[in-house]
Amino acid sequence: MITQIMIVIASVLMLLGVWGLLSRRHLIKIILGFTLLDTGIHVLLVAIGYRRGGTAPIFDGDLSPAEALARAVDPVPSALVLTAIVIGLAVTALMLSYAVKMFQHKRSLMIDRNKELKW
Amino acid sequence: MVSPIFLIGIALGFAFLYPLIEKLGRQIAAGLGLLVMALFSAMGVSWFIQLAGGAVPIMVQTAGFTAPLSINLMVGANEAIIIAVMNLIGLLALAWQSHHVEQPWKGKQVVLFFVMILGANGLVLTRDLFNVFVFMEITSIALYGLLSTSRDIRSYEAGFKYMIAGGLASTFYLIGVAFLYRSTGTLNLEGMLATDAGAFAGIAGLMAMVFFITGIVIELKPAFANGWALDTYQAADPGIGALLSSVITTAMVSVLIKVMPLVAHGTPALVPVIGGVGAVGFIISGLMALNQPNLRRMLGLSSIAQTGLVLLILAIVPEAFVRLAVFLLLTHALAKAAIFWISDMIGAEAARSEMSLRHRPFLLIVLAISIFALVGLPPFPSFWVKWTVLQSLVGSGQWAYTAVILIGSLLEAAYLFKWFLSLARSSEDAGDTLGEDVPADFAASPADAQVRAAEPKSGTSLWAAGIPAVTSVLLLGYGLWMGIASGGLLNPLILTPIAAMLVFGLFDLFRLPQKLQVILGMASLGAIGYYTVPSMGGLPQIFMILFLGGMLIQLLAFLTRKGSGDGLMALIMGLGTSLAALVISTNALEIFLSWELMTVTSFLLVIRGRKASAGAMRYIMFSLFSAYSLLVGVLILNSAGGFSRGTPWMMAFAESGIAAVPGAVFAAVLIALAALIKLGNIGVHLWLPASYAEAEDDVSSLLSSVLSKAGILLLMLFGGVLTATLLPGTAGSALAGVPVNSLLGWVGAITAVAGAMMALFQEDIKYTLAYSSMGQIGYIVLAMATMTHLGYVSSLYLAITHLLFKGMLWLAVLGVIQQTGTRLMYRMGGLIKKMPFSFLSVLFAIIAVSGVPPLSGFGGKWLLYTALMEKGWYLQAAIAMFSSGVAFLYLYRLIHSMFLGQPKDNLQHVTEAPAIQLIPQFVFMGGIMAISMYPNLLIKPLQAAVEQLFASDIAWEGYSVISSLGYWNGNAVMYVTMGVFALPLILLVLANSGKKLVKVKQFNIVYAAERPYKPETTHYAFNFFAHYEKALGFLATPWTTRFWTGMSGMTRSVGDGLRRWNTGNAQTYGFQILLYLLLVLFFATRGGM
Repeated sequence: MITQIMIVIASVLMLLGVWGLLSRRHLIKIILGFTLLDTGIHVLLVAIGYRRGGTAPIFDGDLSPAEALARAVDPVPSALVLTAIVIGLAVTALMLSYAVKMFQHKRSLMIDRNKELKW
Repeated sequence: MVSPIFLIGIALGFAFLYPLIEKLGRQIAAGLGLLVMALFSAMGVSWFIQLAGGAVPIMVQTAGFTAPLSINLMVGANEAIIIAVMNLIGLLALAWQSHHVEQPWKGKQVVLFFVMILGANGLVLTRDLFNVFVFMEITSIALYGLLSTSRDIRSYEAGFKYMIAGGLASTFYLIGVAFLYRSTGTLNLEGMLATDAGAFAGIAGLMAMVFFITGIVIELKPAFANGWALDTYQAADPGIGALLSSVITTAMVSVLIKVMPLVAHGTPALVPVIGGVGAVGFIISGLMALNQPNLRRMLGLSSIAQTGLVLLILAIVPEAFVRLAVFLLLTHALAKAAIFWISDMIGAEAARSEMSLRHRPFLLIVLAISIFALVGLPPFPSFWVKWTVLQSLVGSGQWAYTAVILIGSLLEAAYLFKWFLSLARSSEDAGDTLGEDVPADFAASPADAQVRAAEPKSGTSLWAAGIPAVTSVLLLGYGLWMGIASGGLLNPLILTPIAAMLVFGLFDLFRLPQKLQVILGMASLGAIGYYTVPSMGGLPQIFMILFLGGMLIQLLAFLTRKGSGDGLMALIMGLGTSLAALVISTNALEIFLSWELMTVTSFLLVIRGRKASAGAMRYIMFSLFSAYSLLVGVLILNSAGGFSRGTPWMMAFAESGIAAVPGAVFAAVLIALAALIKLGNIGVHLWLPASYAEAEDDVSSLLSSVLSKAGILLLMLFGGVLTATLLPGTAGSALAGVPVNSLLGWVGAITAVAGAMMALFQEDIKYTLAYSSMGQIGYIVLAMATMTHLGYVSSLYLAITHLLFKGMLWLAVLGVIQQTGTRLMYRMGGLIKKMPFSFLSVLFAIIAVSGVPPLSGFGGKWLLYTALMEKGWYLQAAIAMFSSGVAFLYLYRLIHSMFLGQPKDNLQHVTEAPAIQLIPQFVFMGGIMAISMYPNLLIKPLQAAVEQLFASDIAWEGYSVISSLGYWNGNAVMYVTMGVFALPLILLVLANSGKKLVKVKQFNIVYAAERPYKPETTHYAFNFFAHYEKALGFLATPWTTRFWTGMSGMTRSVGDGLRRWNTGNAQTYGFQILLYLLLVLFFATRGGM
């Protein structure tokens, strides 16, 4: 149940992000849309690893490797999310720096001022 | 074997350490960087050698766990060769950028480059789907970083668009991977493949796969969702464009290659969708590139088109064609990188270059090789790939894919060759010469265009030109290896044209004098003839003698050329040997290969002309059209089991009954079309006038007299299928049951008239001769089309005599043009006393051409009419006779305007052409005299050769040929004609004897009855046949020219319209990507309709 709710939340976040990405004219708002989209994916990944009533996937006295498959939360998506967050950070930073450069060049942060290249 | 993990480790480590190493010295750092790249490439090579030898693919586990728990890397043969070539391109790119004149790479850029290389190699190696995402992002981030170092400020705008698109693609990919993980419990490709296909079933499985694949596909920049990528290509430095196109695209396609088995396993309905994505990309990108003014954008479109082709091939038969797809991918990577670098070197910006590169032949050759490799001409790897793929497609009747591949290839050739020709043209070529150029009254010849010479930025440094050249050498070696290793080439003699071009190219490199090269060339052709001709028989022998002999004699005239070699002989030898190869080829592949080689070499010969670029463009487009028709035609026959070694001549089909061959009529139409295009028959003759007329004068002669017979060879080679009837099994339609050869006959007849009519109204002598060739070829086709013994004999007879008199005529005219400096007939005149030997040649030639007694042309016409009457083709015979009359008119005009009348003031000092040019003319003249006096010299061997195909219906009595309609005694005709001419001569001499004769001087206008007076266009020789033009000019209306230019214009407009889809707005691009996802989803649910 929680998984479903999480997936719905993730979808809402992603759709919001896409909407922001495609409808806002301001570069910074577009980038914010992009980070929302990113966050949505992260939530989705975590949701997929969730197991109801599961325990932390740490092998110790309470959890033997043999039991892990049955009782523990899937650790893989969590690991993936960590990686994805780092990558998202890098891309966002690059986008922001590009936005700065575009602003310096055009003195405007509006996306429709930046379409010299076409056809 | 070295573990592939080192590759990733070293790349990462080197990227981190590079700034430190640079502190030691820039040269050391740069050298070390090159060394690392060389090491990577060498690793790939060593893996490939071992894996191709049958070793088990290398599988490497990481982090001390086995696959599902950890990430694993795999190197199979495909991965190994991709790693080898991709890193080699990386090595060259690094070398190129480190020595860049304007902006040499250092520090940051090299670090980013190595990060990109790390990502690209990781993409190729990893078997973990999440790891793919990580490497995808690493590659992209490195690219964004590099992009920001471009010189063009707009690269920020482009980069931003790229990031939005890349962000969406990664999102799709991650969503897909997340759900795939959910249903299979693993991220490992092997693990997923081992999962039961049921795990992917249902709408959830389909959605997961669609998101997953769309993510990858978007990264491949598919048509209709790739504006951001094109903008990036346009703004990025060409060096970065090369990396994007060659390294990143290669890595991304290799991801798709590795997940294809998963798609086929989990969601087979998506496989044809991927094929469709490829097909649309291949065609649409081609259309959009046609009129694209920006060079880099055009090259980007070409990369996208090639990626599309790779996807298409992958999707046809996913398992069988993987290796082919890899080969094609790597060919593209090598060729495209070289093109980007050359465009960087010369600072080319426009898709139609404003600069000429002709003074840099080395660069032009590298460029030509790269473009040929992209278009798929032999012997490059892409040729073998396309051949194998099309063979399979035609064999299984997949016409839609066949059409896509051929049309896409034509489009690609169109824009790439347009650019190439704009660079290869001479500095006097405005690039629009398609017809004769007649200046207005009192105007001097129009000033020649002045095309700026391109100056390579890096000067003449061999280093700079050497980097793209490495890829050319690789492409050539790799293509030859593929041809021989694939076993398709049983007979290495077929590759003699390539060997000949290489050897004579080396001669040029060593600056061997042209004269010496001509002699060596003649010796080689003679040797080929000496060793092949005696052991041949029948028609092949006749064609071999015709091709080799015709070239050998005309090569004498090339001895007038001075200086060191300039590539001319390499091309002529390539042409000569490819014609010889065409004769000896015995299977479908050999025929097609020789045909293409002949096309390529003759195209390159045409380009050499002073204003030939526009003509050459038409030539290559029509020739490729012809080649593709031939390809499909022979493949249809091939799949019906029509060819095998040992059945060289296709008459076998006629015996077994062509009705038994499925698709024979399509094959017949396509092969006939291929031949008709090459012969320049009406409707598809557009390439002919400008190509013949604008080529160099002596080359024109070779093309028109020798090369033009290749189409006849093709028609006769496949004669057996030409009797197939149209629309078999239907009745009532006007064309039902009509055999193909009868259509062919009509085309030949109409070509004869049209060629003659158009020749009639030309002022430029070379255009007259070009159209004359077209008309004469019409007769040859008409005779051949009767498919009777007499028809074949007369066709061959006409072909051989055409070679003799047309060679003679062209060479004589060549001399006149050289001596007078003009090609316009009305500017010549009165040359009879100045150039008597040339006059004699022309006189003999036109008597022979016009088909009046006593020379050999008469015999040809007599045989032709007899053959047509016997066949019952009366109307065609009448048309042929009418066009003979027209031919006489233009020949009369020709000799009259050139040699008779009053000499012009400015031509007072003209002298006879050099002896070495006259010799071949007199050899031909001797041939004509011999055949005229003793027709049996020629007709008997022809008769014997044709007898192997049809029962003979010619008989002999002494020197007389006897057919059903009468007999012809060449000897007697000759004597009678001589008598007719001798009698008035004797009377004249008798009447004048004893009288004092006054020689009329030129300005004794009382006698001359005409004044040499300007303006020249009032001279009678200008618009000589104005009265005929009024009466019959409508026959020369360029209907078909209008049709083809309309077609071409329409295609361009469609492309222009499509280009507007890419509005330049980042958000529109984002929206297009979303739309793309929905479309893929739609087609996937429809089962890939």
